[in-house]
Amino acid sequence: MTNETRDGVGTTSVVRGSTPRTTTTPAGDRFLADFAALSRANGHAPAWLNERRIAAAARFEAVGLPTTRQEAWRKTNVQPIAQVVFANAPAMAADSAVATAAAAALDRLALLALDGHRLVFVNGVFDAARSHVGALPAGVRVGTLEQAWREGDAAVAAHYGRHADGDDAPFAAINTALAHDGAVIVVPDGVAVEAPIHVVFACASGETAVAHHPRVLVVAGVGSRVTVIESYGGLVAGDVYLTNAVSEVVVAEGAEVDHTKRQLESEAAFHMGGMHVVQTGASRYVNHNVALGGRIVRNEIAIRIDASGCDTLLHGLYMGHGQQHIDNHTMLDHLKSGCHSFELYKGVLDGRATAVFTGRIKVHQDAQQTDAVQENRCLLLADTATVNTQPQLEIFADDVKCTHGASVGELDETQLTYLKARGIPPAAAHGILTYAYANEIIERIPIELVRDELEGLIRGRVRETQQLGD
Amino acid sequence: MALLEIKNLCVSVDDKPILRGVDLTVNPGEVHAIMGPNGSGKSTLAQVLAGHDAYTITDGSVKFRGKDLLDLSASERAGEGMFLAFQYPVEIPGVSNTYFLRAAYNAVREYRGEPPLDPVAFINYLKSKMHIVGMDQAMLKRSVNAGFSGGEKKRNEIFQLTVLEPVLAVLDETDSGLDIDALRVVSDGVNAMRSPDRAFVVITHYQRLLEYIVPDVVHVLVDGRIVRSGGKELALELEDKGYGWLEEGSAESLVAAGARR
Repeated sequence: MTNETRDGVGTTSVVRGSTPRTTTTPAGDRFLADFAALSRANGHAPAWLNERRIAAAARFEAVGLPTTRQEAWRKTNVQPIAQVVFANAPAMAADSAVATAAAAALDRLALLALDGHRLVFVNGVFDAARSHVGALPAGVRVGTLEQAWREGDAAVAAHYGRHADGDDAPFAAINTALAHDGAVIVVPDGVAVEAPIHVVFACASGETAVAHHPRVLVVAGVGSRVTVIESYGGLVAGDVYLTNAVSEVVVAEGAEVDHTKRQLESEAAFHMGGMHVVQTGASRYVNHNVALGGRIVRNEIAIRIDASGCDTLLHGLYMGHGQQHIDNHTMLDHLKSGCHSFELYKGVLDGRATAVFTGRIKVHQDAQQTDAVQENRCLLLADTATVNTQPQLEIFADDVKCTHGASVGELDETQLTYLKARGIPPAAAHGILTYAYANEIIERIPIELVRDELEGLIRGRVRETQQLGD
Repeated sequence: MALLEIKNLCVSVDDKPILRGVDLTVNPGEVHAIMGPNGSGKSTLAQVLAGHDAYTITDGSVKFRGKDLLDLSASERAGEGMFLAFQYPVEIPGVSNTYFLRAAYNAVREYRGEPPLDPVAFINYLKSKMHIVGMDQAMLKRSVNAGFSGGEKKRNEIFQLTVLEPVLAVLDETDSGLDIDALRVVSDGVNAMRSPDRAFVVITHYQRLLEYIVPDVVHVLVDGRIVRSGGKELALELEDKGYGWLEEGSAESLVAAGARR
């Protein structure tokens, strides 16, 4: 095994107020221009929402887009995002030509065959025709944020924007300021929603680059159970757009939440994603984070483990090729005693792809008997691919078990030898082993159809896939 | 025509000679046993035949079905009908036995210019082979050798042999680590595969395996050379006397050398 590190996409820092190459307006001001327009358009929003939006806009104005001078962004340069002028995404949804051309891609992304509930948003606008919410147990809300705001849902008012918006989260601030709709899932105490809930955020930018700001809120009550899948994807290959997504998940005592993210953006798109989870009682939260698309990708997953006896599992797979840059930033914040967290992230990089993995685990003084396991592995299929992996353990309690491991390497020679000795040609043997490596993450996803579809996409990514059959 | 014809094979690892002029001819239908002490080069011979690339061939030739074996890659050798049962079968998490076998079986068919079997036809074919070494469905679904016991791994090697139907199977210490029941299962599997068209080279430390898989010829490999060949009774003699009397510089070989002088 060799360990290899290198700078990310570049180390040029963005100086706020300087003049980017393709526009004369600083990025921050442009996002705020959007904000002003949206504020006018959303006059019916409840007062608390407007307050949080204004506060978020102010927060973003104060911090601006991150630069590589900031430790958390040292390896991911978002200057290419600042250099694109993004149109207001919702306006594009009315363009029926774009919608028609992308319909087939949308059907694939939306997994129409999946038996469950489905909320579809295209360029940020709710697509009622493609959405489907079946019979639900009493009190369960699966719908749009816009409707929940209008109806004055107390759970939404209590939690929306309460978990994602830290001072160090500029993209989350942009989202809170600009998100005008999204998905909300509220499961009352003691209720199990058996069928999976699939939330789809598609983007088609057409002639002009667009930005959309997907938003999800999941509130799982005491003793409840729910399975949520978020899918992100571009509908036209090569489309340039920005997905700036924020999800907030609240997991109460005794609740079980299984949460999958399928990220299948266009390979020219930017994806900034934040998932902010809080476990408020002894509960189980499982996250599967699969990133296959995007040109510059950032996933921030922050879990506040704020009760004793929690189980938290993070599974991640990222596959990059070409010029893709994929940055996973995870944070497990162990605040209380007797919790178990397990984190396994695997990467497969080819071409000139770059990746970053930063795995923070903070064990506070009160979090005695914490058992935290973190492992990050990355497979480099080309000499030109690079990964930068960094575990960050901060432990303030004295009776804890924390292990972490990181490995960067190539395929196992003895396994290749074995496959070849059975007649499998070298290229196919590479393909089989790469697929098996990635599949260790996919096979943990509980929904078979989601697994099968991702397996198909991964097979397509792996060289010499014809040997993989079916 | 001989199936396998090894002439003066010399092999080094990191410039250290391991095989120092091996001659061996195997005809279809024959079972050859190769015995010898630790470090004599038995496993090296097996791995060189299978095409493992850690070895340097410094001299000699190997003909397999009339072709120059050393010119072929490992996967091409398997396509030609060569099979090595590994001494240490490799675990491959994430690849099921069924999947692995179908990939191997169809790769070999493709090499021979035959169309691949579809998944359903292949499963039926697998089922027809499972009884030979007592494989069950659960084992087929498990990842290749992952978490298998030593006995299960060796049984899986022989199961692969029954599926791939090679013309020459080299068994590299297939008996090591097996209890008597597992040894019988594995041996029964090999015996079921014996045929006039198929040959075996059985590499072993111990005579015990040869009670179950009865060889036509026994060779003794010492210090990278075959120092003696004989019938199956040679194995019994080795069991009795050990290898010392055949090693260079031993009292007996010195006496023999003196007598010749």
